[in-house]
Amino acid sequence: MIKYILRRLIGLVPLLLGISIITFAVIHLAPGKPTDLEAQFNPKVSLEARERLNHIYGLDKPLHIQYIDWLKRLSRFDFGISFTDSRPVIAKIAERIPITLGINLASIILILLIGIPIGVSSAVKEKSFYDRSMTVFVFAGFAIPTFWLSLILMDIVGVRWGLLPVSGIKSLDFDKFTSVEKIIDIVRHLALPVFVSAFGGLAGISRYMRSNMVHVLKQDYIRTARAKGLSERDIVYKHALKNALLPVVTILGLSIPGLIGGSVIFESIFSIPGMGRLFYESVMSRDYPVIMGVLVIGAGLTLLGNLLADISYAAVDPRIKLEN
Amino acid sequence: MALEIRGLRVSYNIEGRGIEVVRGLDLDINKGECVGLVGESGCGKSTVGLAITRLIPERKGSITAGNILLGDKDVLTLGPDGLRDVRRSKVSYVFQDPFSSLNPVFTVYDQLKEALPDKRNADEIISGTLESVGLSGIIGNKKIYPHELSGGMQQRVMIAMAIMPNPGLLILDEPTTALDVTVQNQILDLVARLKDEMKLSVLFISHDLRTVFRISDRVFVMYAGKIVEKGLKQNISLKPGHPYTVGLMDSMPSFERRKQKFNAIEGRAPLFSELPKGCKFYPRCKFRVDDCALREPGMEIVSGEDHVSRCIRIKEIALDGISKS
Repeated sequence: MIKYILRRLIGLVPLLLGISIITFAVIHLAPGKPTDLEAQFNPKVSLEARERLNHIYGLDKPLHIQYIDWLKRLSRFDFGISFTDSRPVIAKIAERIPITLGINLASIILILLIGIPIGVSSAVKEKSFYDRSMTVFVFAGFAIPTFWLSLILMDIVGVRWGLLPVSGIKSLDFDKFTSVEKIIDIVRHLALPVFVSAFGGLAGISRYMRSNMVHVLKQDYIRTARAKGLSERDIVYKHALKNALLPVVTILGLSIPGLIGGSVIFESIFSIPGMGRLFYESVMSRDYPVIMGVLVIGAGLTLLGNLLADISYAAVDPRIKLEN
Repeated sequence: MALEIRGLRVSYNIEGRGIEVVRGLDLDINKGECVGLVGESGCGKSTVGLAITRLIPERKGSITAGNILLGDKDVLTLGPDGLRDVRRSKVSYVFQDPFSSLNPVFTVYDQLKEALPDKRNADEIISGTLESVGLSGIIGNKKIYPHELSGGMQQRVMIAMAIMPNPGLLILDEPTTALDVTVQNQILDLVARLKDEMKLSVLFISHDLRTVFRISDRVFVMYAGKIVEKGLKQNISLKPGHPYTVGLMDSMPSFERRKQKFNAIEGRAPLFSELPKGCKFYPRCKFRVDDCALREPGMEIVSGEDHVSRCIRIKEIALDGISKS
C-alpha cells in the first residue's frame, strides 16, 4: 500500500511538470503583457522605460529561461511576487483559500446530506410520484442559472425580509464582535451563497445515487437478502446502500480540486473575495506569478484528488487491492 | 406435507399487459422428500420457486390466484411480518449463480450470521454448518469475502446459509447450472447427503433431467406454465407418460448413445403471449392428432394413481424410457 502510494506520488511529478510547461507557455504567449496597464495606454512612456519595466519583471529573458527561473523558485516553494501589488503570491492565495474552501466544503456537505437520501429514497420508490417530484426538484436546481437565483434570493431574503446580509463575508463592525458573534456573522453571510451553490449541485449527486441504487436493488444478492428474511430496512440501508455508495467515493475524490476553485460569477454577485475572483483579476491584469500559482496548486490538488479517490476506493471495496 | 401448491397462477407485466406464465399449477412435497421440477428455460419453473415465498418483484409481476400451503399457513395470505418469518426460518433458497447471489462487500461470516434467526451460539452453529458443507477450511476466518472463494465454495456458502435455520423447505433453483461439471457432482452429492442427514424437504428446480433424476424422489415436468407429468422418478424414467418428457430425455447426451444423433425436441417453447389453444405441446409433438388441438387435456393416469400425465393419447402411444434407449 505505502509502496503503491509512493510510486503514484513519484509518477505525479512529470505530470505536474508537463502541466506547468503547457500553462506557462499558453499564458505567456497569450496577447497582452503585465506591463500593458502601465505602458500601453500611456503615450508618454518611452521605449527605454518600457524595456526597463520588462526587465524589472524579468520579461526580457527568453521564455524557456523565464520558465526555468520560475521552476527554480517553485522548487523552494516560492511562488514569486505578484506583479500588481508586489505581495507574495502565496500570501494572496492563502488569504483567499479559506473563504472559497469554506463555502465549497459547506456546500458539498449539504449536497451529500440532502442528495444521498433523495437519491436512495427515489430509487426505493422508483417511478412513483415522489420519485418524479424529486427529479423535477433537483433538475430545477440544476437548470436555474446561479446568478438569477442568487439575485432573486438576495432581493427576497436579504432586501424585502431583511433576514440575511446580501454581500461580503463579514459585517462592517466585525472587529468589535465577540468570537461567538463573529462565527454567527460569518454563517449569516455565507448562508445564501452556500444554499445557492448546494441547490445547483444537488442534481448531480442525487441522480447518480439514484441510478446506482436502482441498479444495485436489482442485483441477485438483494434477492438473496430478501430470501433470508431480512427487514426491508436492512436490505436497503445495509446491503444495497453500501454497494451503491462505493462509486460516490470516487466522485468525492474528484471533487477535491473543485473545493478551492471558486466561481467568478458567484463570487462577484455576493462580493466574496474568493479564489474565483483572484484568478479572474490576475488573468485580466496578466499577473503571471499569481496565475501560475493558482493553476499549479489546482493541478496538484486535482492529481492528489485522483490518487485519494483510488486509495479510498480500495479502502472501502474489499474486491479492490492496490498492488502493482 | 412440507409444501402444497394449488391452482397457482402468476402473471408478469410485459409491455403494459399481464401475461400469465404460471397457469394453474399444482405441486406437493412430502416431508423429507426431494421433488424435482424440470422443464425448458422459460417454462415458468423458477417463477414457481420464487412465488413460494413471494419473491417475485412487484414491478415484474404478481400472483393472481391459488394457495401456497406451508404446513397450515397459506403464504399468500401472510402479512409482512409473517412473510419475513417464513423467509427467515421456514423456507430457504439456493440460487443459480453463487457469485452474484452473495453480497460482494460483506464478509462470508457476516452473511452467514445474518441468516441465523437466533444469534445465540452463532459462531458454533456457523462452524458446524461450514463443516457439514465441506468448508472446514474457512472456519474461524471472519475476514474472508465471497470473491476470495471459488464458484463451488461460494455455492457451498449459499447452501450453508440456506440450511442453517433448519428450514422446513429448501428450494434449489438450478444450483449447479453455473458450475463446472466436476463441481456440479460434488454439489449434488452434498445436497443428497444433507437431505438425508437433516431430513430436509427439497424442491429441486432444473432444466437438466439428468440431475433431477439423480437427486429427486418424485419428478414434476413443467411445460408452458403447467405440470404436464408427475410421478415417482423410477416410474417416469422407465415409462415416461408424456411426449415432452421423452423429448427432454432424448435431449440428454449419453455415453451409450454417443453414436446417435440427438433427438432434440423440434421447434422452441411457445411464447406465453401466443400459446396454442389445445395441448400446449401439440405443435411440437411427434404423436399429435387433430383432437389434441381441441382443448387442454386433463391429468390422465399413466401407471397408477401417482403417475399422471396431461396427454390424451397416453394409452395409445408407446413411449420409451431411459433404460430401453
